[in-house]
Amino acid sequence: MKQYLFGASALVAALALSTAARADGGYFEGVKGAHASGRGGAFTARADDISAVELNPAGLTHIDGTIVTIGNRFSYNQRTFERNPTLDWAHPSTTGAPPYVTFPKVKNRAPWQVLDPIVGVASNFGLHDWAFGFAVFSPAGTAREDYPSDGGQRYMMTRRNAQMIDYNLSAAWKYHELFGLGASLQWLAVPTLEYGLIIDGDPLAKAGNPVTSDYDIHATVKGRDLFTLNPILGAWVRPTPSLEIGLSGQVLPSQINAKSKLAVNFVTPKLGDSIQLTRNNAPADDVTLSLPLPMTARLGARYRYLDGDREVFDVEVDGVYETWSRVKRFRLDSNGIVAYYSMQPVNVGVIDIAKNWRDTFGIHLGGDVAIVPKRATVRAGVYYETPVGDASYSNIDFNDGPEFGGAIGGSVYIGKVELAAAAEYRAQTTVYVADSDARVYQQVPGSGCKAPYTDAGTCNAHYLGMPAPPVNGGTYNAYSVVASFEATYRF
Amino acid sequence: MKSALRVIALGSTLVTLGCGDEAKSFAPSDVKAAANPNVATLTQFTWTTSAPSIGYVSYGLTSSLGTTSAPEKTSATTHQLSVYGLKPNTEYYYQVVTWDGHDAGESAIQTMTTGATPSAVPAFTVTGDTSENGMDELLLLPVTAGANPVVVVVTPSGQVLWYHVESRRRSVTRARFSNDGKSVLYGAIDAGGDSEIVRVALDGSNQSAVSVKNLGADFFELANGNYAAIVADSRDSGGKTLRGDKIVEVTPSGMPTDVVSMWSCFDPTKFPGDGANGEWTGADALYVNEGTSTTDESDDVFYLGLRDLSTVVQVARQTAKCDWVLGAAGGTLSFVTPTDAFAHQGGMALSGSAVLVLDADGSAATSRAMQYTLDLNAKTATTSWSYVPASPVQVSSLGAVSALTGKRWLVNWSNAGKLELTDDASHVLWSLTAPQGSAFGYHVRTDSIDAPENKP
Repeated sequence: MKQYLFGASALVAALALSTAARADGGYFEGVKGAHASGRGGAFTARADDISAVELNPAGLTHIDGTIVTIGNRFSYNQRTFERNPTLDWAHPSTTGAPPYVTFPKVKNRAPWQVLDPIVGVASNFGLHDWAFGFAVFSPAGTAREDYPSDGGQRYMMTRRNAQMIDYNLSAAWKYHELFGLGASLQWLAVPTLEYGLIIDGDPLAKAGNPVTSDYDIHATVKGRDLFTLNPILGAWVRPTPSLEIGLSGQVLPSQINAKSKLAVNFVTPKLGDSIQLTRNNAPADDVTLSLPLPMTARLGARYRYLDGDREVFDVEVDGVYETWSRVKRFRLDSNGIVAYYSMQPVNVGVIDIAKNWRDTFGIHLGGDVAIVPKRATVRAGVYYETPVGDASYSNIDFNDGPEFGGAIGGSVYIGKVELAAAAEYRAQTTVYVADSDARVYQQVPGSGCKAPYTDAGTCNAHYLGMPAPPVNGGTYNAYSVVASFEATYRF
Repeated sequence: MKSALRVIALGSTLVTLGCGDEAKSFAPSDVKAAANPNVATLTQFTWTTSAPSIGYVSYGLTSSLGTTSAPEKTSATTHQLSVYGLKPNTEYYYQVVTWDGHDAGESAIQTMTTGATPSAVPAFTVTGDTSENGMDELLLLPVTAGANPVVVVVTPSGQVLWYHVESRRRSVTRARFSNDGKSVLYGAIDAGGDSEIVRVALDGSNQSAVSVKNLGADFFELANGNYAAIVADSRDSGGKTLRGDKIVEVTPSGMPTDVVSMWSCFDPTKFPGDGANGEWTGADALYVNEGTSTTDESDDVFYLGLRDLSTVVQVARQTAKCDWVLGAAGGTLSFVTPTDAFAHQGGMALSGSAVLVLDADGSAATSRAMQYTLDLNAKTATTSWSYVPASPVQVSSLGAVSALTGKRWLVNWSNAGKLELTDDASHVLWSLTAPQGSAFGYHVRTDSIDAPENKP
């Protein structure tokens, strides 16, 4: 007994020092699985379905026998952005007055996400103290965003398409009903990672085109990274029959490095002027897009109200800590590509989209009530997550602000089949960024303006102190409506 | 259970705290517009901003606005901006736009109504091209259409941006922008001797004057703040009192100092001129080259047009002598084409090595505009351009010629009340005409009324 307790304590300490599983902020939104979603993500301690492979692998030991689960998550993910009005210094009137330009609100034109499945199997293979699981799913989140290439957001992003698939293989062991340990090896494959934005290709010094440029170039990076590994560790402990504590974590830092192709085209085609990408005087378009992944720690505690051995209801509260501060920037490294147009070479260099994200903390509260024993269960939950981004670095590509949400769900049990469903509403509170606070700047690779950006000879007089016009000032709103369905067959 | 409720309460609190980032307002406040009581075409806009900013005004006859003022040049929190040239008795829509170096703001669209212009302000008729290939500059121009002369700033399309009525009905032959760009100066000539150089603020805020006894037709504001002016210099000659002319420098307080008198250059017994009623030299045009120094006036060079001697002279301030003479009164430079010699010329301007004059009587058929290229070594004046109007014009006084870029010349036909822009093929590109009976004084050109120049 002592040795098991020692082992559990060591795991808890390791998780506390490192951090853990797939995050539900930053790139990702919410959790996968109808049970977890219906409880507002408060599932680390309970973790008694296939989603345990990610949320707490040790929870697999709560599953008796063998289950096969298939489900899908439908979501409507709306994001809007209304850029602040600005003055178009590049196109003044005859009196020298720059036009006051307002920008219509833009919306995500690809809000529906209908294919977001989860498939998994878990079994103890007849072993009382062991459990194993295998699941394939895509992480919960908004895979696609699409905005007009002439919208106010275009210097931040026009399109994002991140298709990710997690393959999880897990094993768990428990000591009676006292505690359990588990581990998952998660293989993250990114078959498609696409990111597009408009850059100002103005090759002239002191370029300052905050609204539109004759040299607006639509730059799209499309690539893949099929192999990134994430180990996840988990544990639970039940000091009393009514109290259960769960802990899990993704313990190693990792990063998506997508080998990609860069495509560039003038937004307004110029007669006889195309863009040639070269490296060492030979055609080249290969670039690397790097996206760091966070480490995450989940700690949950749940109270179980028991009627004999039967759990009547439970209430769980989880805290989730995510190390998004690893994400300082999205970096596109052209590895020395030079773009030729208008008979001038422009070094593409390294394009950094500043993020400066910070670690987040989320609190999740949820629970189940068995309204008809062995026939029907209802569940609900709420949560709040601190903002991942400083508002100054807000961007349309991911939700940077504080997020909150609520969910309801339930299960019906028909023989050996459980049908579970959940509905979740998730929203980011309105984020407003004044242009004076904005720190995401237009990408102007041809600019000669260098830090500290105060040289009036190379920097635009209206944007001294800045590398280029700021482009992320505005009002951000985001919400998602999620419906999750799952069918589980228990052998 | 109690613990669970506490957790719910904590979660609710966190959600509440996370809400409510409000958009900041950078809109200007306390935005007002008022037609200037002294200049009905001038409207002054005022507003305040919470942070130092620059701004401008968009305005127009509909809520679509369409026209903008020039932006302010310096940041402030309290703003006043003048817009010139609004139509009289007209309702305008306007809106103020601000920029604090980062954030832009705009006011709501408001309306205001301009006042009425006095009847002395003429309506001009314009023909031709007002693009950069035609006439593309503003003109500061004295106009005498009735009893009260008026000084106007007029656009190429004939719109009066600014005006000032000489309410004392004194003769106005010359107007210039002040060196600081904030005022218009004009010479108010009174036959009774009550002549002044009047300074009128462009923003209509104030008016002052410097008394200059016997002020002539032209003056010039020097860089040191004094005025160089033509004044009468009457002396006895052969028992008759002749009115010659001299150049004086007048301080802002009105203290005159003689610079040079034409009596020191010409002898009336040799060059009697053909002025009437005791007029001798008939100086009516002054041009000053201030040299490289803007504070030391000792290297100034003056050019004086002597209408009744049909002569133009150059006088160096240091020597107070006539360096060269072009014209009938003992010219030290000779006309390469004698029939091109001018007579009773009006305004005179220098353009590089060329002299431009409005030749009133050099040709019997009509007055004409002449440009002579001077070769001081060869002591010659070669006609390098001339313009004869399609219909004869007889200029009785004043008149002027300006050389513009792109081989364009602006001819001021003075008492004909007409300005013409012509090219080197004598095509009339543009013309501006005042009502019948009007006469123009000397004009200057400028690109902007907000930062005016005195282009001859």
